[in-house]
Amino acid sequence: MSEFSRRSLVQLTALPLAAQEHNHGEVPASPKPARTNFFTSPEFETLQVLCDLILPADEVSPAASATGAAEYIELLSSNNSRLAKTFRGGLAWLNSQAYMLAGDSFAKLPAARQTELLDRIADHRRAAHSDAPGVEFFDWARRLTVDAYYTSPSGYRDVDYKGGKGMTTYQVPAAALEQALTKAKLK
Amino acid sequence: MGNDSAMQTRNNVKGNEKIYDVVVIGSGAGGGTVVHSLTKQGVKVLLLEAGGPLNPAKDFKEHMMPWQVPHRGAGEDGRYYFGGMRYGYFEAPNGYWDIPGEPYTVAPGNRFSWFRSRIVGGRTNHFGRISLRFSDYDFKPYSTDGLGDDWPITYEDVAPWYDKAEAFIGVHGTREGLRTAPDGVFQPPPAPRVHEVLIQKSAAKLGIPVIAARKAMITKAHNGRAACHYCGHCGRGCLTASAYTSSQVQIFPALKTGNLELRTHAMVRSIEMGKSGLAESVVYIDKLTRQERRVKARVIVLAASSCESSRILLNSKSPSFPNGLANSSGVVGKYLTDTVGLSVRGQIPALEGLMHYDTDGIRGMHTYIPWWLFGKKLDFPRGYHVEMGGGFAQPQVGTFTGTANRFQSYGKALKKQIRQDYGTYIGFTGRGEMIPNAKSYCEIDPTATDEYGIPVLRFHFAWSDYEIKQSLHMRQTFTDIIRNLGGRPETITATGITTGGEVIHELGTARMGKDPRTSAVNGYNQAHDVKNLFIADGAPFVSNPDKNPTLTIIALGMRMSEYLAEEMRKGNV
Repeated sequence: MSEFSRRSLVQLTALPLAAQEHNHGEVPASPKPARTNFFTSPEFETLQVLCDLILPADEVSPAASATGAAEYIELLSSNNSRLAKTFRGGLAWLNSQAYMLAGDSFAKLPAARQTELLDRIADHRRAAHSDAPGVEFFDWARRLTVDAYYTSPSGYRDVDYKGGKGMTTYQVPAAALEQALTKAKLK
Repeated sequence: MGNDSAMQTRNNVKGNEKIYDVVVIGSGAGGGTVVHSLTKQGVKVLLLEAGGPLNPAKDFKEHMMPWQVPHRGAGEDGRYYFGGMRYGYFEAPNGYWDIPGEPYTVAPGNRFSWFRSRIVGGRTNHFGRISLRFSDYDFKPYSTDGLGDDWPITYEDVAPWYDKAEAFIGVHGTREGLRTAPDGVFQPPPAPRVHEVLIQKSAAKLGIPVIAARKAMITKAHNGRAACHYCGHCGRGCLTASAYTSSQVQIFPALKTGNLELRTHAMVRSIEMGKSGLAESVVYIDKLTRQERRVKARVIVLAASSCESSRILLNSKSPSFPNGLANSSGVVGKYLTDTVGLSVRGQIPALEGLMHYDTDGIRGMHTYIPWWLFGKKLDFPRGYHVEMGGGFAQPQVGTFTGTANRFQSYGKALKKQIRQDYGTYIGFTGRGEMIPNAKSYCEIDPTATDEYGIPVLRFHFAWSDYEIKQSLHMRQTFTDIIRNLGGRPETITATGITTGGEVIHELGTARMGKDPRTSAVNGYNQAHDVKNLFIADGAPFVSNPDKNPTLTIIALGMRMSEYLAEEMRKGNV
């Protein structure tokens, strides 16, 4: 029965976040998935610009490109024909609209024109019927960018995830309980 | 470890006429319990498992972070996004809804999903470990409300075995003195999380009790197993076996006794009768060589899961049993039930902006709601318990899809909304009792076989008005609790009731009883028709109470093993 001893617990089940914290004081920078080169260079560049518009850098955390969002989308698209069609077609649609709007590709538009275009397709409740292809594409782009971002160390830090460390006895901070009971008026 | 033992045992298969004391078919909670109990008493056992071996150190993805794989858990081909990964990439290799080469059929107009597990330990490598005793009235459903049938055994018969089962596998909980949730032998439970305390205090105003969950996860070191380390990854398989599995807690130790031989990839086709009305041999296909094999034993124990065991019986036809082995009553395959399920979740503004803390703990809930309306006049029979979720869960693929859909935004605004939304949802899931009905059963499909040439099951399944009304009561309850906390229940469609089989509590297809004309096995899980044949999974269950079945499968498996060992000593089987 020695295989389940405390010693082997430490060896077998080193908790990544706890280990990182011990060594470096924080979780590591985001390891990016490698590029599969499924998308052409201009396609990939456009995708990166789009991902960074969906989740840009702010005072808390970096932009989506730092977490490998475009690489994640490329990896899945290279193995999934439905995603490939959605993203290839969507990026082309975005460029076609960019040319119509301002005479250049989406990646090269000024930031204000890029957001002007995204504002048309980001909210399906307010979008024009003629923009339907863009709305569907943007929904996929947002969904996968969010997934890639918040499954990265930067994303974990952004939402302030406190777990992943394990405990000897499960404990809830008294201050957390006190604050919640007060706010919910359940004291 | 599983690999080695599989290799060792396959060598002495060929051409032997060895007669085992007992052959056990299936290595889940029922099979694991029987194997462990019998080998401890010196009985020589052969265990047949239709799936492969298990090596926890290699097969469990406990403690992996999503960024450790390039696809983050969505699958290299993104199958997560198209419904192709119902339990997620990181979950234990516990089984499948669709097994390549092993189909089943569903009668036209019916819906049923059949979950199978093909690995040593079966579904126990992954399951929720909720461990609830049946109540006294659960063994007497007909006497209580005139529906269904009574069990041939009572709570008093099973209580000592519940004690032994809990003491052995390790269950945490608190003693509450409730008739609907009988107390057991408990280790201390983990502390409730903040949202669980809020739900407890708020639900109390609605007269709904919230008590400590009862799960087979150890909070104190036990029988050489380390106490839980609260990583929240219980469903991925637990490397320290702090969560009960039949593989780590029963089968691996049983292998060390020298009394157990394990054969993996052994897909059982049928059981053959010998002379003098006894079952003689088990016929199986070795999946690796696709060759048919036969093993002989004094006693044969079926523990392949309710429907798989019934399939083997129905496929074991002989002149004395033209309708399938041990089926002179005709009940094999009948009385199929699953648990009634319905879920509602809601966003709670009062949980916004609170201090973050580690809510990993034991996966899922630390508290639950036992049935609280027993004996009250309602528009449906029987009851349900309620499971709950919430907290600052470890972000995974899909965690913030709901938030993104809700706000339809992008940019810095979306990042702020996700930050604010994180950890503010609570969810409730009902688990209720289905009454057996004539429309729900499984039978052999006369037109289809699997890739091993074994005829497959065809399912018929229908919820009755009883279950639909119960699910509506669940929805009202969960909506009330969420609103009482100032929350917004999310819209759910139609009744929201689960599909049959979806809760993976399929039971009853070879039920026990006193009368051989209306039941397949007696109160010791022994076939009425064939005294050296036993069934140790969920098939003998007469009813499917609102208590998850595994603890009762283990308790009845221990009780059956004690009886069987005694009958073998006496020379009766």
